[in-house]
Amino acid sequence: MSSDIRHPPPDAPLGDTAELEREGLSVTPVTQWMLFRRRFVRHKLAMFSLAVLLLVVAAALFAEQIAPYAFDEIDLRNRSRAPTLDGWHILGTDKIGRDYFSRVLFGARTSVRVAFTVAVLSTTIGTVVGAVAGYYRGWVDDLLMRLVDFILAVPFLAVLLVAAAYLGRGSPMRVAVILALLLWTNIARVVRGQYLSLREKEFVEAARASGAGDARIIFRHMLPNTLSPIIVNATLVVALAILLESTLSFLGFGIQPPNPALGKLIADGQGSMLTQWWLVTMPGLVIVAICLSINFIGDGLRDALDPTQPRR
Amino acid sequence: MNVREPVLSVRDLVVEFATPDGVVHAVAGMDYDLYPGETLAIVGESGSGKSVSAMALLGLVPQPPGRIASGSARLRGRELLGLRGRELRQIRGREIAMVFQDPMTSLNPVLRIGEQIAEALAVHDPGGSAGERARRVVELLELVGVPDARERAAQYPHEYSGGMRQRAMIAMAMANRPAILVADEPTTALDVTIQAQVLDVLRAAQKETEAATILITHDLGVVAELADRVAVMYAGRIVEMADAETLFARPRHPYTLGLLASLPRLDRDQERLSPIPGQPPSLIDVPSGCPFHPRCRLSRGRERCRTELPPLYATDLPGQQAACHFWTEMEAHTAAVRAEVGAERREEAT
Repeated sequence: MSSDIRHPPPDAPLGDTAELEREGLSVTPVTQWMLFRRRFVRHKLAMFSLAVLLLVVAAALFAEQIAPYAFDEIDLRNRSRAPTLDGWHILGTDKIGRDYFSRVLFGARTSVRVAFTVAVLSTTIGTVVGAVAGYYRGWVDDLLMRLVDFILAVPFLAVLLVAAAYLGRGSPMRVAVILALLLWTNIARVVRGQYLSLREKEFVEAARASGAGDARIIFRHMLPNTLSPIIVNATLVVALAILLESTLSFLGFGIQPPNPALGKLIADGQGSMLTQWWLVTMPGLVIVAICLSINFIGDGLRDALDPTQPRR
Repeated sequence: MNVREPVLSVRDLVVEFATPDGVVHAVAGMDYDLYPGETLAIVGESGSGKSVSAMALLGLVPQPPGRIASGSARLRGRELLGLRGRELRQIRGREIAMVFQDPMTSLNPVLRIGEQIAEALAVHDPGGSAGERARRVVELLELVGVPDARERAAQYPHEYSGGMRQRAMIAMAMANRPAILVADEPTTALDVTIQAQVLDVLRAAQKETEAATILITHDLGVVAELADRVAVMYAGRIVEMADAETLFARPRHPYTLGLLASLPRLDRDQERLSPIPGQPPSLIDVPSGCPFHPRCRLSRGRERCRTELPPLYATDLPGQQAACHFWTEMEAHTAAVRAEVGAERREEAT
């Protein structure tokens, strides 16, 4: 607070803070954001998960700087080696002698990029569709929600495989777009529900009475009120996208060689799983680490953003 | 009294709502003029159509189920009813601004107060600079008496008390210097101690913007405090219109008298209030003739009250109109009722 103590008029709310300060009591207003931060920081599992996730994501994004070898560098003298410090093959090598640590790093980079692209795209689509449906209701709502029902009703994996086979061969970004086009439905439903209740709020009517147009009301006035469920859902989509991308790549419909992806690495390694355990285990561990930590972060966010939680 | 042109002329406004039980005649033909700088209070019980009549001006009646069946509302000669889209949005907030009843729910909980007021400015001046708006926000908050306006503009609604929030709402309403300020029960949700302050702020805001004000309320105390003229509504119609002093001293409609007589008084000992007997009429099935006749003490079952809808008669007092066939009997009736209420009160006192 500022040092010059002003004298608010007698009707100043929340008691007279200046007076309390004169008595030596410090008065710090607690904002929603501070409460949220405090709750999140105290969520130990979420904080630990955040650290793990940041580590993995940072390693993935700086793969080029960290990796001791290029992901496609073949060394036929060092084929199928178990993890060893010799030549810093800390995760061993595959059957044509490529450093597996480097391949996992680059694979994680591809997967993380795809996952975040999917999260951003599907959250954007889902939010806009849900907001428009919930705000306008009527036939717009019916149309959009039937579209959601339709997408949810078709067998997910089958559509994914067909779409990936025809449209997404190879390029990670195409795979990301296909996944996003299938994953926005959940967010759309959540956002629609929020908008249905928000549109009846008096502050929305007040905004309308002050001359705000539909777009302004939808995005400027109502969207900030929906942010918490959107954030929580977006984190969960990241985990889901990593899993689905791995599934696709494992089945051979996702990202194509030479691009390494975590699912593809597992698929390539499964033939020799019993003799060369690291080929399946290491990328698998990375997938598990990313997904688990994201889910725990999602839990932490949900708890911290929920104002009905006790102020711990 | 007023030789000036009215800023707003409402004629024969009819608003209906379709419900499963039938058509609700929320506003059943309303005429009034609003002159620059004056405060017109619209008084009535819950469901008498006072809020709906104001919502109709801003195109805020949800359609469906609502329907503006007929009428016109001209703002400086320009028809408001039936405006759509961009034209309507230019009226809202810019020409006619609204202060809502409950400042707890009519402010957006996740936007800072300053942002919300800046929003109201930005809507009507998209090209304006953010810095200019921020300056204006602080100026407005100071004007409505929010202390430490600069710091408090950065706070969220939950950090404001109820009275402060209503001040912020008023600041937002006057942001664009509207020609008309509509205050819909501006003090109903507030503590009595805060009410007087908010009324002062409203008065200051009106002075600053020179806006004509429509004050919607059921609180005759607020009316006495703020209003120049009063329109009393019953069953979707104006039943009496007069300047505030005349209305309080010499009502010419039995319903107005009933409202006045039902007020609790502190200057006399009194255990029971004197309510108007009966219930407000159903707006689906409005009584025939004068809608007030089943509850009216003046009517005494007279044929004309049951069959003929009274128009607004000009009374003997300047500027006063009353929708009662027998307004000429009101002088005597008023004296009788007042004596009776006084006697009753004296009786209870002993």
